[in-house]
Amino acid sequence: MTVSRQVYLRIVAVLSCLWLGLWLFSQPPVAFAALNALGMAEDLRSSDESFYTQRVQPVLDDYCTSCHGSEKAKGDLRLDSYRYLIFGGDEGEALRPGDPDRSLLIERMNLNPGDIKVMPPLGRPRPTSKEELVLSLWIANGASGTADPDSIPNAPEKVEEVVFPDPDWSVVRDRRSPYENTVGELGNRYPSTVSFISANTEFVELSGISLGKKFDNRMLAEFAPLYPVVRRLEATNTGLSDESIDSLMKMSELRVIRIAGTSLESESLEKLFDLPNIEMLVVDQNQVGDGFVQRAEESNLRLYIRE
Amino acid sequence: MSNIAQSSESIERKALLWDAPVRLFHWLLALCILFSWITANAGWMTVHLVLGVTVLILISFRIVWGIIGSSTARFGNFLTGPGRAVRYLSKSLGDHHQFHGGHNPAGGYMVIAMLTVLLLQASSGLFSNNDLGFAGPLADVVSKNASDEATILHAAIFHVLVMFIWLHMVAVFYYVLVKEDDLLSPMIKGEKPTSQLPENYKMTPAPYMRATVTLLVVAVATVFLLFR
Amino acid sequence: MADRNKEHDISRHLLGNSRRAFLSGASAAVASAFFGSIGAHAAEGDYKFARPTDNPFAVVPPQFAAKAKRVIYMHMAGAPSQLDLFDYKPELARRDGQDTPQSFLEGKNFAFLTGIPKLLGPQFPFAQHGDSGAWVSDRLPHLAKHVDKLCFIKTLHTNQFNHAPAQLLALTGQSRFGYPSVGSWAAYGLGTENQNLPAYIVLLSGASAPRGGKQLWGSGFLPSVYQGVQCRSKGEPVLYLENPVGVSRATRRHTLDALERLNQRTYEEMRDQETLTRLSQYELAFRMQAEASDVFDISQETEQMRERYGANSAEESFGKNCLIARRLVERGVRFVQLFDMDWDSHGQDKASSLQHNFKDMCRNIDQPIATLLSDLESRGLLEDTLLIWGSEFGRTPMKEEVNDQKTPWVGRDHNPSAFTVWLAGAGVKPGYTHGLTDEMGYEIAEDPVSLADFHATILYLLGYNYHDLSVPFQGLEQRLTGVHHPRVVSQILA
Repeated sequence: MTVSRQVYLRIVAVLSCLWLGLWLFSQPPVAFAALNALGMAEDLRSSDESFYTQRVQPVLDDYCTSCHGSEKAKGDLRLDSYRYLIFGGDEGEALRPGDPDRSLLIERMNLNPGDIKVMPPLGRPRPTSKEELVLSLWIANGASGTADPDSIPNAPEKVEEVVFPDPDWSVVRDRRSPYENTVGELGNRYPSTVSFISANTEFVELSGISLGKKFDNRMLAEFAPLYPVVRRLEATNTGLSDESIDSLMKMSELRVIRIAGTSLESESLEKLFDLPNIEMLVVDQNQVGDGFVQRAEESNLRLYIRE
Repeated sequence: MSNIAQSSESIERKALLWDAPVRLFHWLLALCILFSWITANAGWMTVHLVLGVTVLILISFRIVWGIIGSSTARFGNFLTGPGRAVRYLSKSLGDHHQFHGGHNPAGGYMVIAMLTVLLLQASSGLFSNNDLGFAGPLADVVSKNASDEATILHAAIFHVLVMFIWLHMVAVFYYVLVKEDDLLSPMIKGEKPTSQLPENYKMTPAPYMRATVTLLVVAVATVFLLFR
Repeated sequence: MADRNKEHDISRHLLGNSRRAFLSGASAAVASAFFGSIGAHAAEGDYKFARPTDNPFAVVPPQFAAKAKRVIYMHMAGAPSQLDLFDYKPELARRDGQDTPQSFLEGKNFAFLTGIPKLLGPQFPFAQHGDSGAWVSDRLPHLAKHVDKLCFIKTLHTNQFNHAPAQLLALTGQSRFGYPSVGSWAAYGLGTENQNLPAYIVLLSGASAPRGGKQLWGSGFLPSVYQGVQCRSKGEPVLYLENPVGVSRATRRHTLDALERLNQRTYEEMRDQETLTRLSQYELAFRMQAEASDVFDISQETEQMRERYGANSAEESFGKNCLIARRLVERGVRFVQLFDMDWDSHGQDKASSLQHNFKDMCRNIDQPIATLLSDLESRGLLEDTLLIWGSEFGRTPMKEEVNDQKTPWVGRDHNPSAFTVWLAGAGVKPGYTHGLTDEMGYEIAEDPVSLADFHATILYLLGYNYHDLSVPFQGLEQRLTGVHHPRVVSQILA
């Protein structure tokens, strides 16, 4: 059997093109882009304020995208966006909207832990039962990319994860710099009397706990440069007296004062209610005069009276 | 030429083209590639590993056999200057045809290319991992990142390999169907009618014992190097 | 001789004579070398934990503003039965006396259970309390009045089913010896406000000592100044703290100065940080002589207050320890660890049965804890003091049989799969229950909390990212949470 060269080359060309075409169309992004350009497929987008973005994507990000993402796409499956989630992977579509139990995404998670195909693979962190429920409910409700977060009322409440503060340290340094030297000097002179309340703020705490009665009006006066940034004052059983009230009133940032066991009296202490940021005050029973409690309540401050 | 003369001549006059080691190598390699593809898809990774190592052994054997094997198997026999290969290729697409006692100049390059791609594919597999607890025997020698890179490479080279196989088949059937030069049966039976061979064709077979010993040495060395 | 006197004079001059000057001078000199080897200050961009170089107990500002400034951690050694106190399981009550399902036993390690044990329902009536409706059994009637202040975690789990390793895991993050306890990390990371008292004090009550031993409040690879100081609630709070008869405070000061010079010389020669630890411990002891006897003197409290704590007897008791704990945190002690022993209710005999010993144990802690809660609250201390009540593991819903003998005593085996702890006070969501166990109270059904999660949460409340409070040791950045990637249990935060 002889075939003419032209015929053979044409057959080869047709087969090659067919094959290439089939391969390209097996790539969902390409196929979708083509269909979309022809107007045969609607845009696949998720909105920022959707159940998907708020609830579903975070779960996928936590447990799936390290292998099914832009850098690694195991089984040609990407779960790092709504678009790709809809595209599915080598083994077909990941979702069957309305039918979570027959959606590959859920099926794979429900396999026995020892199954070679279980996802996430054995030994990797698994979504909690509540997170799995979020995924299932979302699929059961149509797997929409735009549906409102409240559109699935029986979904478990969203857990707000703790975000550790990570400030711009140069800003923190700048804010602290006017006080840093004073805190250092006074801290050396009177150990454990003054410290920043945390590494990321310029606010300080004054404490007379170690020094007791030695922490007196005169000593407090030495801290004058720090008055604007004092947040807390631990003055229980210290030597402070009514004389110090003017100093205290300069501490515009002061929120917490423990001043029981001192000689400050009701009349002076009442002034503290006018501090702009005051939140909490601890005093002794004998420091409290008539109407003190009532004024404290009016100032919306948490008052504790030691017996 | 009369029909009778032709037929009697073809029965009598055949010469050995591909020795058994080369043929065995060819078909085993083809099988290994096919089943590697199947097992990778099915997730039978242990079998995939065995097949991959077999491919490595086969290629190593073929390289050695290309130096000490039968004359038609030797690289020296079919490696030519690139210019000649290009000229040959352009002529072949025309009406010109010339029988070759072994790989033709372009085919020689195809052999080298195929061996290189397969060598790359098999060795990248050694460093790969599937993130599911399976890893190639050398994956732990490199970092996880490097192993992941190897895995990506392993998947990418597969496409190149498929392309080469397609090219190979297009070429073979071009000869079989268009040029009426049956390349298929010699690769199965080993022999080719002398009428389809150059006049001065002469084949110097190497003893099969040499092939057996070579294969054994290469296999043991490969397995030892990978799994010691 | 003259030279030596001169040297002495100079050093006295350098150190100053007043206690206050001593504090700033001597400890600064001592400790500047002390922490020379530990981390540099915050580098550009990233937070890097660093202790200042002047005093091992100096207050260190936490990484971020903390809710909790102090901690009282009550550990019930031996593991009380959560199924008879907080984790109410009506289904278990219904199936009381039935054979344990096989699925409960497969692949499990038990300390004592053998064969097919029977299920054991709750041994005491339960009721819901407070606005939060938390279930508490009738064994803790006083505490039950305060459930709206408590935050329960019902789904803590561990991987140890014997007391000593489980206690170590719960308190140091590792089941092996040699790791710093939670309190040590707190003292190390935060220092302490009161320089006249230890940063970390441990009080024990009960006949025995915890199985995990003193490692439970050890400092591990942290400098040993950060270990817990075990104190007593009867007699001298710290043994040999007082000067012996005939030794005056001045003489003691004199002796310590001489010792310090010797030790300083040794340190310069050997560069062993433990020399400095010893030095600063002497100094702390000297300062403590005045303040410790004062803070431990509960006769300063009113009769009525002592009564409420159940602290009127001369004997050591959990109630007394609670009262002392309140006095300690009021004086700025960073971490107070209470251990109450003998909660191991296996039911092998009367003394380990739920019907007897367990009831007594509950009675011993019920009113003191309730009083501690209300007392801390009325003094405004609950706002920045974190209270933790917990144990090393829980107990099984199965009854423990001893060699198939029929005894009238009832008890339960250890259950590492799920147990209940509660927190209260600073930064914790009051009147809340986190996590759910299965209907038998055997395994976790929802929201498991690992000990690493638990520890990360405590550190978070104290103002630290668990990851950043670390110390390089043996080639690893050591953390309370080990090499885990724990999750701060955000649900329980106020």
